[in-house]
Amino acid sequence: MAKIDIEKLHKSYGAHVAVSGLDLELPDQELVVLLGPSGCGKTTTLNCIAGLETPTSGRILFDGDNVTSLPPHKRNVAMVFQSSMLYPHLTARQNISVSLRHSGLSKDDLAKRVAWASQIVNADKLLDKLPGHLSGGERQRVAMAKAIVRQPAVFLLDEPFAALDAALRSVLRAELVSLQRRLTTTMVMVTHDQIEAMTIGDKVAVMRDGKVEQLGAPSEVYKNPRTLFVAGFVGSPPMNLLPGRLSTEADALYFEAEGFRVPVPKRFASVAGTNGVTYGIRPEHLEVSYEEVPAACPAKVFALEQLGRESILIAVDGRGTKLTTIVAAERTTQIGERIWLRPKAAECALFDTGSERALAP
Amino acid sequence: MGQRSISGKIAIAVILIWTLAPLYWFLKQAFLTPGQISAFPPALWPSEPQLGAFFNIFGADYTTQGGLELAASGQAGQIVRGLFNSLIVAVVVTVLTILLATPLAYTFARLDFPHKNKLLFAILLSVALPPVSTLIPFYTMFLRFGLSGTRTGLVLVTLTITIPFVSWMLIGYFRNLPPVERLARIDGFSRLKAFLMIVVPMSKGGIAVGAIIAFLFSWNEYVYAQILVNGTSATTLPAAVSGFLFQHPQPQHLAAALFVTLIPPAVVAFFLQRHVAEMNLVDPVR
Repeated sequence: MAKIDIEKLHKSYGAHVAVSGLDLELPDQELVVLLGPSGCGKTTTLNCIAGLETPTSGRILFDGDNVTSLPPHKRNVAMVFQSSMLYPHLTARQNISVSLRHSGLSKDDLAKRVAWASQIVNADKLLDKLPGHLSGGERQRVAMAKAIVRQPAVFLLDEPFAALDAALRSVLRAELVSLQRRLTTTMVMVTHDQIEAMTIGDKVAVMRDGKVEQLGAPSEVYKNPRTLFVAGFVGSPPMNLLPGRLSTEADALYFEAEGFRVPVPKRFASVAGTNGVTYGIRPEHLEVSYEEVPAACPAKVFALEQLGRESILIAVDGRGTKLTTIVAAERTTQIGERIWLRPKAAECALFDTGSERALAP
Repeated sequence: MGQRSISGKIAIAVILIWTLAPLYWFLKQAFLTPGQISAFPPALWPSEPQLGAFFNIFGADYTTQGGLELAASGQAGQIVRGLFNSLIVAVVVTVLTILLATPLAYTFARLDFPHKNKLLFAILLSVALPPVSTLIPFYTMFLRFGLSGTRTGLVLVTLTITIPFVSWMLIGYFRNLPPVERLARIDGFSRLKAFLMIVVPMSKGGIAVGAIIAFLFSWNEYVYAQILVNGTSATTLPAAVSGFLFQHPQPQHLAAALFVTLIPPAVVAFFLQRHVAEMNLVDPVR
């Protein structure tokens, strides 16, 4: 159990900057997910926390102690690697025991600890097998036991569910969350899968180009994305983003784009003067109408993706921008059919197109 | 493997006959007397096989059950010495190749350092170099250093071929290992210990294949042996066997010596073939 502070972390490889001036506070006993596209610096950040990489500059503190220059095994961290990597030539038991090679435990105590750790993740029947004879899910359990057995202050996970099939992923996600609750330890997980991040994390840190764009609870990041990037990255299907401008008419504020004008809530009055605004609206807040209605964006049906419980309707507006919305599963539609998409005005988000930052509130 | 189809069995039979028939045709002469060898038409199978030639090449006279006297070969001394030298040279070459090529290949495969690609190219170049091109330079150099006609000289020359070749093969093998070094560092292994205690044990298969290649190459090496050590006390078996070709041809002795030459590689391949079959260069761990 430890609180992690990352201060002005900077890591570059020659000319390539992987992490640039990253500040992040990871609270004790929480599961924080570092989320971002590949190359955003999330794995480098994790490796710096683990001690596998030495930062170019900046500090990493565990509970206020500077650990920046400590090697991994002196940091009291455990790490689960991509695809739950294990030593392929050692049995599960040997793999787990290796984690304790610096612990100085007696043989009996060591065996007890291994048994304890493997019981927590139901891996006790797998102990005498080689990793090659374990399924993806079983390997995951053993990798977890290997991490748990050290009783680390910080648990690091680097895309542990990559290369597993979807059904197994969702089972293991739930297991990981329950495990984190039982162990009450600080966990940091890296993923590029935003659904994984949203379902697992107490907090999500969305990263881009070596910086944190936003840190917050998943619902907070989803509801109030602070930048255009976060708005477009988090959520599936992603938020619709329409560039345009603001206008005032008889004290009311409107967002205008070609062939389309919608009212904007009063709370945005203070930013009415902004030049170049991007209007963001989640697919579930776009209503589809098959007749012309006021304050709606005219569009044509581009595609309908049926998911069973509901369908995703992709439309294309006059300028060729794709807009997605969610419709009932029974709804059938013709490709190319004219429709009008009306946003629920209160649910919109506004961004400054220039700075890409969200406009108040 | 499962059931083989008929066409598969036929294909295997054709390949076996193709490779083994000429070998059989020659090796059967080891069990014949000089008279039987010169008979026409030649027998498909030796009618009265006897082991006389094997005694002869190791320096013993032999009397067949028919009372025929077969005299010991004049080359016997060379054959005995050659067998002994070949074994020593091959074992030393194999051990040194593995001791040197394994860390070398690992370094190239998993670590970054300046001029890596140029040095890698140098390894490839030394694999590609035809042995004949270095034969004369080595010969003149070894004359100066007093290494011609010695096992040490032959070991050195053979290493110049086996080390680059086995390194090249192992570089590909190590490259495909999962990044266990990161796991090892979390577990508190130093780089050296991670290599010795994790990487080497999990790469047994690839290293065994490298050892077979080095052993077989050294055992079969003929060109250098012929020039550098033949006719000396350091002669190897292939060089010594070739002696039968030049003086007083005795086909049954040549066949028997070749038979002996084939045995050690067959034994090595038999004990290490499990690793060869298990080794998958694309995914070394599975």
